[in-house]
Amino acid sequence: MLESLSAQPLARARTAVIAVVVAVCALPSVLCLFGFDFGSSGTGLGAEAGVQTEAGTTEAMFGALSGSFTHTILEWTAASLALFTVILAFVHFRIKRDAVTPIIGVALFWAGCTDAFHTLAADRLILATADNQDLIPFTWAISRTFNAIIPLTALAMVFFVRRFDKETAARRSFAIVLVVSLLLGVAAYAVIQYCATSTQLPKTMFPDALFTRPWDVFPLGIYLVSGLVIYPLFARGTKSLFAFALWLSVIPDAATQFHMAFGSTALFDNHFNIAHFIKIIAYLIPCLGLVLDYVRGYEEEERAKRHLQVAQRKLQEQTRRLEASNRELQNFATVAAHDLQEPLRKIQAFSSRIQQKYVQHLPPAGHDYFDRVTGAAERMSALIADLLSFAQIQSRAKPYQPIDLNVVVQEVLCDLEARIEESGGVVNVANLPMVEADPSQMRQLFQNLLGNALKFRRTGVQPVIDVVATHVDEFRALQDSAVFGEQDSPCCEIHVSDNGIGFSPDHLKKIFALFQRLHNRAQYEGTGIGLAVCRKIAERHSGAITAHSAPGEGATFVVRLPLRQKEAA
Amino acid sequence: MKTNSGITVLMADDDPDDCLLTQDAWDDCKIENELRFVHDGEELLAYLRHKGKYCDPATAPRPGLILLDLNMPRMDGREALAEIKGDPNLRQIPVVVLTTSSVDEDILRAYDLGVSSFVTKPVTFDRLMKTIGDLGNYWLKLVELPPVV
Repeated sequence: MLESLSAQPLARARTAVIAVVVAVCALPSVLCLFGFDFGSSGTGLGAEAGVQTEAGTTEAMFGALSGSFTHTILEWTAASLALFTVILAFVHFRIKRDAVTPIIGVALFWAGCTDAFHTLAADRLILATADNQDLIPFTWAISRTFNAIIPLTALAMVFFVRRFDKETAARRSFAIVLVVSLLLGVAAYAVIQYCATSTQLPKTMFPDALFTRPWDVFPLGIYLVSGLVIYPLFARGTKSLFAFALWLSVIPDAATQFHMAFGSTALFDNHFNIAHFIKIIAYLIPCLGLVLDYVRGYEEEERAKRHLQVAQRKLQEQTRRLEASNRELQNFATVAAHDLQEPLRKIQAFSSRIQQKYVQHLPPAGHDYFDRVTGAAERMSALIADLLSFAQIQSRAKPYQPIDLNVVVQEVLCDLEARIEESGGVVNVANLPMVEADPSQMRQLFQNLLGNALKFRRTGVQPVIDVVATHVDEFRALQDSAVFGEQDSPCCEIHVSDNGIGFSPDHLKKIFALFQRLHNRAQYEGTGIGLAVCRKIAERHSGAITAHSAPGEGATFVVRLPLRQKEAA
Repeated sequence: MKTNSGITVLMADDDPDDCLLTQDAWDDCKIENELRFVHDGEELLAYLRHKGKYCDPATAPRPGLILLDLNMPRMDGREALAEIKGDPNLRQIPVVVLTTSSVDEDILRAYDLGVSSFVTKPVTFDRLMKTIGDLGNYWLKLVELPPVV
């Protein structure tokens, strides 16, 4: 979405940038048409200059060396930009772990180094054996060739690196960068070594020919091929401004070579200086590309952060609303249950008044009706009491504490003793774990589960109930149950199995819903709150409950509980 | 010789059903004392202070015991209780809270304000009768109430 939105202006911006670069590269030539001459006119040190004093000699020397100075300044600016580029490229690598940028950065740096060597040799600051008239143009041609080839070599390596999957590339990227840097460095050094030690360098300048400096034609060709074929391929696959800048830098590089190959006839002449100036642009562009990559990366990060903040605020707002509505619902349940009890109490009270005072005036059918009124009122009273207790699972929750489920189950079995005895049932309890939970709610949970297992027994079959626990390393959602909160803590799973009447799997969802019953009142008593309470207790503990069963085959209820709770209740 | 048989009991409760049931229970328990009703806190205070329609002390005798519901319109039992216990002329009258509430906070607050007992309204009529019988036996037969002057 964002990509497609920004694609249009991005393409426009690229066109504009290309136009600017072309204009800058063309500017010196245009100015030449208007009579400007960028050549350095050295005055020479001949006798006609009239050198008499020592100060005069120095002055004359400066004049004679002005071309060399200009050359040095231009070259040094270019070499410095190469240094900045490689530093930025490594910073980029440190942040993004992408080996492509430093490989190309290093290539540019070594190219800059050959430029620096060319300058130092030209200034006679390092020992070189050949004559300057040959050395300068030859080392220039060599460094330009190197400059044209080395990024291509780097690109070839990049393609090689890209063959790795992302993970391997990230892991090996540092080693790759190191090896590539070293290889390129060795290549650069070999070139420098060769130039510095050769006594005889090939002739490179032919002032009267069409190609005044034919040695510069070769790098020009490489630049053209790179610019027209290779870099576009590289830049297409990436959004990186650095890649685009690299491609763009071919324009000034090629322009530089044009000036040299077809224009320059002597050291430090007009075309010579223009070429050197444009070369600075060629180094500047990748450097700026990297800087803009940072800016863009930073902006993207900021935008992402803002998006995240907005999303977070929305989420908070939603949570707040949800909590509010939850509270309201909770209050509603409590208040409703409370207020419903009031009139119900009257119905019960006045019914019993009638039955006490006017029983003799009622015909037998009236007695029956009255019994039904009383029974209905009692059931409603039970429902309301259950509703209140259901609502109170959340509102009257006690803090979590470590509890031994063995103790809880034993207590529950004590409470159920009469019913177990009456049904002749057997309850087998395996060793159960310690969990962090609300003790009274755990008790209620087992009370309901074991109570159900006893209640829904098959007639004529002795109830056998098994309670076992298993350890679960990772919390997974149980089938057909909601999971509250993200759980990665270890859990336990408690299975309560019976040999009772069971239920059809179709009813699985139904049995955990409030006041849902699968049997009529005559068969089994109860309001249908038990399993809803179990579900709510499990969910409040960031756990879950489910069951599996088939009619007549008993049922197994599975409760999953985290061993530790993340936060206080 | 107890003189409590002549005293009036005043019940403040907005619920006419509860009033009726209490009266029924009162009669069934054969308590001879007169049971009178007011229906909110303001009416209760008007009665006690002989204001408005209760201006004649002859027709509105000072009660020897007050049965007070907490949840009432206009002025509820809690406010009325605070008024009574803050009034030097009224605070000797024993007040028994008879309410549906069984919230700890209400119980604590009521005793804090100086009620004599806190009783939760029973749900069934049988239990109500028992409660009324017990209250009658205790307050109207066993204890000495402050003399009415």
